[in-house]
Amino acid sequence: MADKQEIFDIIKKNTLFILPDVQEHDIQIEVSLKDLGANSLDRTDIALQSMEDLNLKMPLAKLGGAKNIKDLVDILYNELSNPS
Amino acid sequence: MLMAKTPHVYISGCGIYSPLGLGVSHFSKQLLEGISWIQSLSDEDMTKTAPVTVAGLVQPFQFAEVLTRIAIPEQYQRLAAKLAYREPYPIQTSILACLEAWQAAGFFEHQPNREKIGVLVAGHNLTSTYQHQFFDSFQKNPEYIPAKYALRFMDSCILGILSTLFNISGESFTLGAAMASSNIALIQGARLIEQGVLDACVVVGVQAELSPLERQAFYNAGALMVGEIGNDPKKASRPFDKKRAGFIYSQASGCIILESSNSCNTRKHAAHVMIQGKAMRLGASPTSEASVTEEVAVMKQALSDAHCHIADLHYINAHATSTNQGDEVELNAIEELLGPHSMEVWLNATKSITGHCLWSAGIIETMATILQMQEGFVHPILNLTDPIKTNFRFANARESTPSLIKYALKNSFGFFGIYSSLVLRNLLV
Repeated sequence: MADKQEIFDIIKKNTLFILPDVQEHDIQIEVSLKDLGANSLDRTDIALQSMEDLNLKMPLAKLGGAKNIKDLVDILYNELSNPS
Repeated sequence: MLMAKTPHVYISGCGIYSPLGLGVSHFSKQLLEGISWIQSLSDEDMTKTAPVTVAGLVQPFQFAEVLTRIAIPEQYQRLAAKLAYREPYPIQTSILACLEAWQAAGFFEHQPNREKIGVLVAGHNLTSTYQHQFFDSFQKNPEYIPAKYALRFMDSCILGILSTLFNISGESFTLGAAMASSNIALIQGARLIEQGVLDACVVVGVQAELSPLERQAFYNAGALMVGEIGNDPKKASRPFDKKRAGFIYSQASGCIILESSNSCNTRKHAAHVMIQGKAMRLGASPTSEASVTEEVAVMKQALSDAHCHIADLHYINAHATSTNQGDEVELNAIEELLGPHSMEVWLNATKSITGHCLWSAGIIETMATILQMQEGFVHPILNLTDPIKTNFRFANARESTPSLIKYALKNSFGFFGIYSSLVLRNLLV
Protein backbone atom coordinates (compact mmCIF):
# COMPACT_ATOMS: atom_id res chain seq x y z
CA MET A 1 0.00 0.00 0.00
CA ALA A 2 1.16 3.52 -0.78
CA ASP A 3 2.48 5.56 2.16
CA LYS A 4 1.68 9.23 2.70
CA GLN A 5 4.81 10.46 0.91
CA GLU A 6 3.92 8.42 -2.17
CA ILE A 7 0.37 9.77 -2.12
CA PHE A 8 1.71 13.33 -1.83
CA ASP A 9 4.02 12.72 -4.81
CA ILE A 10 1.10 11.42 -6.88
CA ILE A 11 -0.98 14.50 -6.01
CA LYS A 12 1.98 16.72 -6.86
CA LYS A 13 2.41 15.05 -10.27
CA ASN A 14 -1.28 15.42 -11.09
CA THR A 15 -1.37 19.04 -9.88
CA LEU A 16 1.49 19.89 -12.23
CA PHE A 17 -0.37 18.16 -15.08
CA ILE A 18 -3.67 19.92 -14.52
CA LEU A 19 -2.25 23.33 -13.51
CA PRO A 20 0.56 24.01 -16.01
CA ASP A 21 1.33 27.42 -14.46
CA VAL A 22 2.24 26.00 -11.06
CA GLN A 23 5.91 25.54 -10.12
CA GLU A 24 6.87 22.26 -8.46
CA HIS A 25 8.42 23.96 -5.43
CA ASP A 26 5.13 25.76 -4.71
CA ILE A 27 3.38 22.45 -4.07
CA GLN A 28 3.92 22.04 -0.32
CA ILE A 29 1.95 19.76 2.01
CA GLU A 30 0.25 22.62 3.93
CA VAL A 31 -0.76 24.53 0.75
CA SER A 32 -4.33 24.35 -0.57
CA LEU A 33 -5.01 23.51 -4.21
CA LYS A 34 -7.27 26.54 -4.32
CA ASP A 35 -4.34 28.80 -3.41
CA LEU A 36 -2.38 27.24 -6.26
CA GLY A 37 -5.11 28.45 -8.64
CA ALA A 38 -7.23 25.30 -8.96
CA ASN A 39 -10.96 25.83 -9.52
CA SER A 40 -13.45 23.26 -8.24
CA LEU A 41 -13.27 21.14 -11.40
CA ASP A 42 -9.47 21.23 -11.35
CA ARG A 43 -9.49 20.07 -7.71
CA THR A 44 -11.88 17.24 -8.52
CA ASP A 45 -9.75 16.15 -11.46
CA ILE A 46 -6.53 16.20 -9.43
CA ALA A 47 -8.27 13.98 -6.87
CA LEU A 48 -9.83 11.69 -9.51
CA GLN A 49 -6.53 11.21 -11.33
CA SER A 50 -4.80 10.47 -8.01
CA MET A 51 -7.50 7.94 -7.10
CA GLU A 52 -7.03 6.24 -10.45
CA ASP A 53 -3.24 6.15 -9.93
CA LEU A 54 -3.86 4.56 -6.52
CA ASN A 55 -6.47 2.19 -7.95
CA LEU A 56 -8.85 3.57 -5.35
CA LYS A 57 -12.61 4.00 -5.70
CA MET A 58 -14.49 6.07 -3.16
CA PRO A 59 -17.43 8.49 -3.02
CA LEU A 60 -16.31 11.99 -4.12
CA ALA A 61 -18.37 13.46 -1.28
CA LYS A 62 -15.69 12.25 1.14
CA LEU A 63 -13.20 14.71 -0.38
CA GLY A 64 -15.36 17.69 0.51
CA GLY A 65 -13.69 18.41 3.87
CA ALA A 66 -10.15 18.71 2.50
CA LYS A 67 -8.77 22.19 3.26
CA ASN A 68 -5.27 21.63 1.94
CA ILE A 69 -3.10 19.00 0.28
CA LYS A 70 -2.35 17.41 3.66
CA ASP A 71 -6.08 16.77 4.22
CA LEU A 72 -6.36 15.24 0.77
CA VAL A 73 -3.36 12.96 1.43
CA ASP A 74 -4.93 11.87 4.75
CA ILE A 75 -8.35 11.19 3.21
CA LEU A 76 -6.85 9.07 0.42
CA TYR A 77 -4.52 7.31 2.87
CA ASN A 78 -7.37 6.48 5.28
CA GLU A 79 -9.54 5.24 2.43
CA LEU A 80 -6.73 2.97 1.24
CA SER A 81 -6.32 1.62 4.79
CA ASN A 82 -10.05 1.18 5.46
CA PRO A 83 -11.99 1.03 2.17
CA SER A 84 -15.58 2.24 2.54
CA MET B 1 -37.28 59.27 -38.05
CA LEU B 2 -34.29 58.91 -40.31
CA MET B 3 -33.24 55.30 -40.79
CA ALA B 4 -29.53 54.72 -40.35
CA LYS B 5 -27.95 53.49 -43.57
CA THR B 6 -27.28 49.74 -43.48
CA PRO B 7 -23.51 49.29 -43.19
CA HIS B 8 -21.54 47.20 -45.67
CA VAL B 9 -19.86 44.06 -44.38
CA TYR B 10 -16.11 44.16 -44.94
CA ILE B 11 -13.52 41.42 -44.50
CA SER B 12 -11.07 42.82 -41.94
CA GLY B 13 -8.75 39.91 -41.37
CA CYS B 14 -8.18 36.21 -42.00
CA GLY B 15 -6.32 33.44 -40.21
CA ILE B 16 -5.79 29.74 -40.86
CA TYR B 17 -4.20 26.64 -39.33
CA SER B 18 -4.03 23.83 -41.90
CA PRO B 19 -2.23 20.48 -42.36
CA LEU B 20 0.65 22.58 -43.70
CA GLY B 21 0.67 24.80 -40.61
CA LEU B 22 -0.14 28.35 -39.64
CA GLY B 23 -0.60 31.34 -41.84
CA VAL B 24 -2.66 32.98 -44.55
CA SER B 25 0.42 33.92 -46.59
CA HIS B 26 1.44 30.24 -46.74
CA PHE B 27 -2.10 29.28 -47.74
CA SER B 28 -2.05 31.86 -50.52
CA LYS B 29 1.21 30.40 -51.84
CA GLN B 30 -0.23 26.85 -51.67
CA LEU B 31 -3.20 28.00 -53.76
CA LEU B 32 -1.03 29.87 -56.23
CA GLU B 33 1.29 26.90 -56.71
CA GLY B 34 -1.34 24.18 -56.36
CA ILE B 35 0.31 22.51 -53.36
CA SER B 36 -2.03 19.82 -52.05
CA TRP B 37 -2.81 19.27 -48.37
CA ILE B 38 -3.50 15.57 -48.91
CA GLN B 39 -0.99 13.08 -47.52
CA SER B 40 -0.68 9.34 -46.96
CA LEU B 41 -1.85 8.41 -43.49
CA SER B 42 0.54 7.04 -40.89
CA ASP B 43 -0.35 3.70 -39.29
CA GLU B 44 -1.32 5.67 -36.21
CA ASP B 45 -3.81 7.79 -38.17
CA MET B 46 -5.52 4.90 -39.94
CA THR B 47 -8.74 3.58 -38.56
CA LYS B 48 -8.74 -0.13 -37.73
CA THR B 49 -11.15 -1.10 -40.47
CA ALA B 50 -11.97 1.55 -43.09
CA PRO B 51 -9.50 1.11 -46.00
CA VAL B 52 -8.88 4.85 -46.34
CA THR B 53 -5.19 5.64 -46.69
CA VAL B 54 -5.05 9.38 -47.47
CA ALA B 55 -6.37 12.53 -45.79
CA GLY B 56 -5.39 16.11 -45.04
CA LEU B 57 -4.81 15.90 -41.30
CA VAL B 58 -3.36 18.57 -39.06
CA GLN B 59 -0.03 17.15 -37.89
CA PRO B 60 0.84 16.94 -34.18
CA PHE B 61 2.29 20.24 -32.95
CA GLN B 62 3.28 22.07 -29.78
CA PHE B 63 0.73 24.80 -29.11
CA ALA B 64 3.03 26.94 -26.96
CA GLU B 65 5.76 26.81 -29.60
CA VAL B 66 3.43 27.84 -32.47
CA LEU B 67 2.11 30.73 -30.34
CA THR B 68 5.58 32.22 -30.20
CA ARG B 69 5.66 32.37 -33.99
CA ILE B 70 2.71 34.79 -34.30
CA ALA B 71 3.46 38.47 -33.96
CA ILE B 72 1.06 39.14 -31.10
CA PRO B 73 1.40 40.96 -27.76
CA GLU B 74 2.99 38.85 -25.08
CA GLN B 75 -0.03 38.95 -22.75
CA TYR B 76 -2.16 37.29 -25.44
CA GLN B 77 0.46 34.61 -25.93
CA ARG B 78 0.45 33.91 -22.20
CA LEU B 79 -3.34 33.93 -21.89
CA ALA B 80 -3.79 31.68 -24.94
CA ALA B 81 -1.22 29.22 -23.57
CA LYS B 82 -2.99 29.18 -20.22
CA LEU B 83 -6.48 28.78 -21.70
CA ALA B 84 -5.67 26.01 -24.11
CA TYR B 85 -2.68 24.16 -22.73
CA ARG B 86 -3.30 20.47 -23.57
CA GLU B 87 -6.75 21.17 -25.04
CA PRO B 88 -7.85 19.13 -28.08
CA TYR B 89 -6.37 20.27 -31.41
CA PRO B 90 -9.66 21.75 -32.75
CA ILE B 91 -9.61 24.23 -29.84
CA GLN B 92 -5.92 25.05 -30.27
CA THR B 93 -6.06 25.51 -34.06
CA SER B 94 -9.19 27.68 -33.71
CA ILE B 95 -7.33 29.94 -31.29
CA LEU B 96 -4.30 30.17 -33.60
CA ALA B 97 -6.48 31.03 -36.62
CA CYS B 98 -8.37 33.67 -34.61
CA LEU B 99 -5.18 35.24 -33.25
CA GLU B 100 -3.80 35.56 -36.78
CA ALA B 101 -7.06 37.12 -38.02
CA TRP B 102 -7.22 39.48 -35.00
CA GLN B 103 -3.69 40.59 -35.77
CA ALA B 104 -4.45 41.01 -39.51
CA ALA B 105 -7.53 43.08 -38.66
CA GLY B 106 -5.34 45.41 -36.59
CA PHE B 107 -7.45 44.74 -33.49
CA PHE B 108 -4.43 44.47 -31.19
CA GLU B 109 -3.77 48.17 -31.86
CA HIS B 110 -7.32 49.45 -32.29
CA GLN B 111 -10.36 47.27 -31.80
CA PRO B 112 -14.05 48.19 -31.93
CA ASN B 113 -16.00 48.43 -28.66
CA ARG B 114 -15.80 45.03 -26.93
CA GLU B 115 -19.58 45.14 -26.35
CA LYS B 116 -20.07 45.09 -30.13
CA ILE B 117 -17.68 42.29 -31.06
CA GLY B 118 -19.14 38.79 -31.22
CA VAL B 119 -17.83 35.34 -32.08
CA LEU B 120 -19.60 32.71 -34.17
CA VAL B 121 -18.19 29.21 -33.77
CA ALA B 122 -19.09 27.24 -36.89
CA GLY B 123 -19.48 23.47 -36.89
CA HIS B 124 -20.71 20.79 -34.56
CA ASN B 125 -19.43 17.64 -32.81
CA LEU B 126 -16.24 19.61 -32.40
CA THR B 127 -14.65 17.47 -29.71
CA SER B 128 -15.71 14.01 -30.85
CA THR B 129 -12.15 12.61 -30.83
CA TYR B 130 -11.71 13.95 -27.29
CA GLN B 131 -14.93 12.15 -26.33
CA HIS B 132 -13.96 8.98 -28.14
CA GLN B 133 -10.72 8.64 -26.18
CA PHE B 134 -12.73 8.10 -23.00
CA PHE B 135 -14.95 5.30 -24.35
CA ASP B 136 -12.66 2.45 -23.26
CA SER B 137 -11.78 3.85 -19.86
CA PHE B 138 -15.45 4.62 -19.17
CA GLN B 139 -16.38 1.00 -19.88
CA LYS B 140 -13.76 -0.15 -17.37
CA ASN B 141 -13.87 2.55 -14.69
CA PRO B 142 -16.63 5.13 -15.11
CA GLU B 143 -15.64 6.63 -11.73
CA TYR B 144 -12.49 8.21 -13.15
CA ILE B 145 -13.97 10.23 -16.04
CA PRO B 146 -12.54 13.74 -15.55
CA ALA B 147 -14.97 16.34 -14.26
CA LYS B 148 -13.68 18.66 -16.98
CA TYR B 149 -15.30 16.39 -19.57
CA ALA B 150 -18.57 18.08 -18.55
CA LEU B 151 -17.17 21.33 -19.98
CA ARG B 152 -15.39 19.91 -23.00
CA PHE B 153 -18.06 17.76 -24.66
CA MET B 154 -20.03 20.92 -25.46
CA ASP B 155 -19.12 22.81 -28.64
CA SER B 156 -19.83 26.09 -26.86
CA CYS B 157 -16.64 25.63 -24.81
CA ILE B 158 -14.80 27.18 -27.78
CA LEU B 159 -17.03 30.24 -27.56
CA GLY B 160 -16.13 30.59 -23.88
CA ILE B 161 -12.41 30.23 -24.52
CA LEU B 162 -12.29 32.68 -27.46
CA SER B 163 -14.42 35.33 -25.76
CA THR B 164 -12.15 35.11 -22.70
CA LEU B 165 -9.02 35.40 -24.81
CA PHE B 166 -10.27 38.51 -26.65
CA ASN B 167 -12.34 39.87 -23.75
CA ILE B 168 -15.43 40.44 -25.90
CA SER B 169 -19.10 40.61 -24.91
CA GLY B 170 -21.16 40.92 -28.10
CA GLU B 171 -23.89 38.54 -29.27
CA SER B 172 -22.32 35.15 -29.99
CA PHE B 173 -23.23 31.52 -30.52
CA THR B 174 -22.21 28.22 -32.10
CA LEU B 175 -23.75 27.45 -35.45
CA GLY B 176 -24.19 23.99 -36.89
CA ALA B 177 -25.34 23.31 -40.44
CA ALA B 178 -23.43 20.19 -41.54
CA MET B 179 -20.79 20.90 -44.20
CA ALA B 180 -22.27 24.36 -44.85
CA SER B 181 -21.74 25.44 -41.22
CA SER B 182 -19.08 28.05 -41.73
CA ASN B 183 -20.55 29.65 -44.88
CA ILE B 184 -23.80 30.05 -42.99
CA ALA B 185 -21.93 31.46 -40.00
CA LEU B 186 -20.51 34.10 -42.36
CA ILE B 187 -24.07 34.86 -43.48
CA GLN B 188 -25.33 35.18 -39.91
CA GLY B 189 -22.31 37.25 -38.88
CA ALA B 190 -22.97 39.59 -41.80
CA ARG B 191 -26.63 39.93 -40.76
CA LEU B 192 -25.67 40.82 -37.16
CA ILE B 193 -23.44 43.58 -38.53
CA GLU B 194 -26.05 44.85 -40.98
CA GLN B 195 -28.62 44.96 -38.17
CA GLY B 196 -26.24 47.00 -36.04
CA VAL B 197 -26.11 44.32 -33.34
CA LEU B 198 -22.35 43.96 -33.84
CA ASP B 199 -19.60 46.16 -35.26
CA ALA B 200 -17.33 43.17 -35.78
CA CYS B 201 -17.81 39.42 -35.82
CA VAL B 202 -15.09 36.81 -35.41
CA VAL B 203 -16.31 33.88 -37.50
CA VAL B 204 -14.33 30.71 -36.89
CA GLY B 205 -14.74 27.46 -38.79
CA VAL B 206 -13.44 24.79 -36.47
CA GLN B 207 -11.22 21.91 -37.61
CA ALA B 208 -13.36 18.78 -38.02
CA GLU B 209 -11.86 16.02 -35.92
CA LEU B 210 -13.78 12.87 -36.73
CA SER B 211 -13.31 9.94 -34.40
CA PRO B 212 -12.60 6.51 -35.96
CA LEU B 213 -16.30 5.76 -35.48
CA GLU B 214 -17.42 8.67 -37.69
CA ARG B 215 -14.74 7.94 -40.27
CA GLN B 216 -15.93 4.35 -40.51
CA ALA B 217 -19.53 5.53 -40.92
CA PHE B 218 -18.59 7.95 -43.74
CA TYR B 219 -16.72 5.07 -45.40
CA ASN B 220 -19.67 2.69 -45.00
CA ALA B 221 -21.92 5.38 -46.45
CA GLY B 222 -19.74 5.37 -49.57
CA ALA B 223 -18.85 9.04 -49.13
CA LEU B 224 -15.04 8.70 -48.92
CA MET B 225 -12.70 8.32 -51.89
CA VAL B 226 -11.04 4.88 -51.93
CA GLY B 227 -9.53 2.54 -54.52
CA GLU B 228 -6.31 2.82 -56.53
CA ILE B 229 -6.55 6.55 -57.27
CA GLY B 230 -7.98 7.12 -53.80
CA ASN B 231 -4.76 5.73 -52.30
CA ASP B 232 -2.60 8.22 -54.18
CA PRO B 233 -2.49 11.45 -52.16
CA LYS B 234 -1.59 13.47 -55.27
CA LYS B 235 -4.55 12.22 -57.29
CA ALA B 236 -7.26 11.39 -54.77
CA SER B 237 -9.15 14.69 -54.53
CA ARG B 238 -10.58 15.34 -58.00
CA PRO B 239 -13.70 17.48 -58.06
CA PHE B 240 -15.62 17.50 -61.36
CA ASP B 241 -13.40 14.75 -62.82
CA LYS B 242 -14.94 11.55 -64.20
CA LYS B 243 -12.71 9.40 -61.98
CA ARG B 244 -13.83 11.05 -58.73
CA ALA B 245 -15.53 8.67 -56.28
CA GLY B 246 -15.78 10.40 -52.92
CA PHE B 247 -14.38 13.16 -50.75
CA ILE B 248 -11.02 13.31 -48.97
CA TYR B 249 -11.34 14.11 -45.29
CA SER B 250 -9.27 17.13 -44.27
CA GLN B 251 -8.74 19.34 -41.27
CA ALA B 252 -8.21 23.06 -40.89
CA SER B 253 -9.43 25.84 -38.67
CA GLY B 254 -10.09 29.16 -40.37
CA CYS B 255 -11.13 32.56 -39.09
CA ILE B 256 -12.60 35.47 -41.01
CA ILE B 257 -13.28 38.70 -39.13
CA LEU B 258 -16.25 40.61 -40.54
CA GLU B 259 -16.55 44.30 -39.72
CA SER B 260 -19.00 47.04 -40.54
CA SER B 261 -17.84 49.57 -43.13
CA ASN B 262 -18.44 52.34 -40.55
CA SER B 263 -16.14 50.68 -38.04
CA CYS B 264 -13.45 50.04 -40.68
CA ASN B 265 -13.65 53.67 -41.82
CA THR B 266 -13.44 54.98 -38.25
CA ARG B 267 -10.33 52.85 -37.62
CA LYS B 268 -8.95 53.70 -41.06
CA HIS B 269 -8.52 49.98 -41.71
CA ALA B 270 -8.29 49.19 -45.43
CA ALA B 271 -10.51 46.30 -46.49
CA HIS B 272 -10.14 44.70 -49.93
CA VAL B 273 -13.20 42.48 -50.11
CA MET B 274 -16.79 42.73 -48.88
CA ILE B 275 -19.75 40.40 -48.63
CA GLN B 276 -22.16 41.88 -51.13
CA GLY B 277 -24.85 39.20 -51.19
CA LYS B 278 -25.89 36.10 -49.33
CA ALA B 279 -28.54 33.42 -49.28
CA MET B 280 -29.40 30.29 -47.39
CA ARG B 281 -32.28 27.98 -48.07
CA LEU B 282 -33.47 24.49 -47.23
CA GLY B 283 -34.40 21.77 -49.67
CA ALA B 284 -36.55 20.14 -46.99
CA SER B 285 -34.61 16.85 -47.09
CA PRO B 286 -33.75 14.35 -44.34
CA THR B 287 -30.91 12.83 -46.41
CA SER B 288 -27.61 13.73 -48.10
CA GLU B 289 -29.18 14.02 -51.58
CA ALA B 290 -28.46 17.23 -53.51
CA SER B 291 -31.02 19.06 -55.65
CA VAL B 292 -30.37 21.01 -58.87
CA THR B 293 -33.49 23.11 -58.30
CA GLU B 294 -32.43 24.19 -54.81
CA GLU B 295 -28.84 24.91 -55.83
CA VAL B 296 -29.98 27.10 -58.73
CA ALA B 297 -32.41 28.84 -56.39
CA VAL B 298 -29.85 29.63 -53.68
CA MET B 299 -27.27 30.95 -56.17
CA LYS B 300 -29.93 33.17 -57.79
CA GLN B 301 -31.05 34.45 -54.38
CA ALA B 302 -27.50 35.39 -53.43
CA LEU B 303 -26.85 37.14 -56.75
CA SER B 304 -30.15 38.98 -56.50
CA ASP B 305 -29.34 40.03 -52.91
CA ALA B 306 -26.04 41.39 -54.25
CA HIS B 307 -27.71 43.14 -57.21
CA CYS B 308 -25.17 41.28 -59.32
CA HIS B 309 -26.09 40.18 -62.85
CA ILE B 310 -24.71 36.97 -64.32
CA ALA B 311 -22.88 39.06 -66.92
CA ASP B 312 -20.96 40.78 -64.08
CA LEU B 313 -19.95 37.56 -62.33
CA HIS B 314 -16.29 36.58 -62.87
CA TYR B 315 -15.74 33.55 -60.71
CA ILE B 316 -17.53 30.72 -58.94
CA ASN B 317 -15.90 28.79 -56.09
CA ALA B 318 -17.98 25.62 -56.13
CA HIS B 319 -18.85 23.38 -53.21
CA ALA B 320 -17.38 20.58 -55.38
CA THR B 321 -16.54 17.81 -52.93
CA SER B 322 -15.34 15.18 -55.44
CA THR B 323 -18.35 12.94 -54.76
CA ASN B 324 -20.24 11.28 -57.59
CA GLN B 325 -23.67 12.75 -57.15
CA GLY B 326 -22.79 16.10 -55.55
CA ASP B 327 -20.44 17.30 -58.28
CA GLU B 328 -22.76 16.31 -61.08
CA VAL B 329 -25.75 18.03 -59.50
CA GLU B 330 -23.74 21.20 -58.90
CA LEU B 331 -22.46 21.31 -62.49
CA ASN B 332 -26.01 20.94 -63.77
CA ALA B 333 -27.14 23.74 -61.45
CA ILE B 334 -24.29 26.06 -62.51
CA GLU B 335 -25.01 25.28 -66.17
CA GLU B 336 -28.63 26.28 -65.64
CA LEU B 337 -27.65 29.41 -63.70
CA LEU B 338 -25.09 30.67 -66.20
CA GLY B 339 -26.94 29.73 -69.39
CA PRO B 340 -25.12 31.31 -72.34
CA HIS B 341 -22.40 32.71 -70.00
CA SER B 342 -21.07 29.30 -68.92
CA MET B 343 -17.79 29.70 -70.83
CA GLU B 344 -17.18 33.20 -69.44
CA VAL B 345 -17.21 32.64 -65.67
CA TRP B 346 -14.21 30.98 -63.99
CA LEU B 347 -15.25 27.78 -62.24
CA ASN B 348 -12.99 26.61 -59.45
CA ALA B 349 -12.87 23.89 -56.77
CA THR B 350 -10.62 24.56 -53.77
CA LYS B 351 -11.21 21.04 -52.39
CA SER B 352 -8.95 19.70 -55.16
CA ILE B 353 -6.10 21.28 -53.15
CA THR B 354 -7.40 21.12 -49.59
CA GLY B 355 -9.70 18.10 -49.50
CA HIS B 356 -13.00 18.45 -47.64
CA CYS B 357 -12.72 20.28 -44.32
CA LEU B 358 -16.40 19.60 -43.49
CA TRP B 359 -17.55 22.22 -40.95
CA SER B 360 -14.75 24.64 -41.80
CA ALA B 361 -14.84 24.04 -45.59
CA GLY B 362 -16.97 27.14 -46.22
CA ILE B 363 -14.61 29.48 -44.41
CA ILE B 364 -11.41 27.93 -45.83
CA GLU B 365 -12.80 28.20 -49.36
CA THR B 366 -14.22 31.69 -48.86
CA MET B 367 -10.74 32.65 -47.65
CA ALA B 368 -9.27 31.02 -50.78
CA THR B 369 -11.65 33.12 -52.87
CA ILE B 370 -10.72 36.32 -51.00
CA LEU B 371 -7.00 35.60 -51.51
CA GLN B 372 -7.48 35.02 -55.24
CA MET B 373 -9.41 38.31 -55.48
CA GLN B 374 -6.70 40.19 -53.57
CA GLU B 375 -3.77 38.64 -55.41
CA GLY B 376 -5.39 38.48 -58.86
CA PHE B 377 -5.20 34.81 -59.79
CA VAL B 378 -7.36 31.72 -60.22
CA HIS B 379 -5.83 28.70 -58.52
CA PRO B 380 -5.68 25.35 -60.35
CA ILE B 381 -8.28 22.59 -60.00
CA LEU B 382 -5.84 19.76 -59.40
CA ASN B 383 -6.58 16.43 -61.12
CA LEU B 384 -9.24 17.75 -63.46
CA THR B 385 -8.06 15.75 -66.44
CA ASP B 386 -11.39 14.50 -67.75
CA PRO B 387 -14.30 16.76 -66.68
CA ILE B 388 -17.83 15.37 -66.34
CA LYS B 389 -18.95 18.16 -68.69
CA THR B 390 -16.78 20.45 -70.78
CA ASN B 391 -18.92 23.52 -71.43
CA PHE B 392 -17.41 25.49 -68.53
CA ARG B 393 -14.45 27.79 -68.02
CA PHE B 394 -12.73 25.45 -65.55
CA ALA B 395 -9.60 26.66 -63.83
CA ASN B 396 -6.43 25.16 -65.29
CA ALA B 397 -5.65 21.68 -63.93
CA ARG B 398 -1.95 22.35 -63.28
CA GLU B 399 -1.20 26.00 -62.69
CA SER B 400 -2.73 29.27 -61.62
CA THR B 401 -3.99 31.78 -64.14
CA PRO B 402 -3.61 35.53 -63.54
CA SER B 403 -7.06 37.10 -63.47
CA LEU B 404 -8.90 40.06 -62.03
CA ILE B 405 -11.98 38.98 -60.11
CA LYS B 406 -14.51 41.66 -59.21
CA TYR B 407 -17.51 39.54 -58.26
CA ALA B 408 -17.22 35.97 -56.95
CA LEU B 409 -19.87 33.48 -55.91
CA LYS B 410 -19.06 30.95 -53.19
CA ASN B 411 -21.25 27.86 -52.76
CA SER B 412 -21.39 25.73 -49.66
CA PHE B 413 -23.88 22.91 -49.30
CA GLY B 414 -24.57 20.45 -46.51
CA PHE B 415 -26.38 17.23 -45.78
CA PHE B 416 -30.07 17.58 -44.90
CA GLY B 417 -30.93 19.92 -47.74
CA ILE B 418 -28.83 22.85 -46.51
CA TYR B 419 -27.80 25.27 -49.27
CA SER B 420 -25.89 28.53 -49.06
CA SER B 421 -24.18 30.99 -51.39
CA LEU B 422 -22.17 34.15 -50.79
CA VAL B 423 -21.37 36.90 -53.27
CA LEU B 424 -18.02 38.59 -52.61
CA ARG B 425 -17.01 41.88 -54.16
CA ASN B 426 -13.47 43.08 -54.74
CA LEU B 427 -13.28 46.70 -53.53
CA LEU B 428 -10.03 47.33 -55.41
CA VAL B 429 -11.33 46.55 -58.92
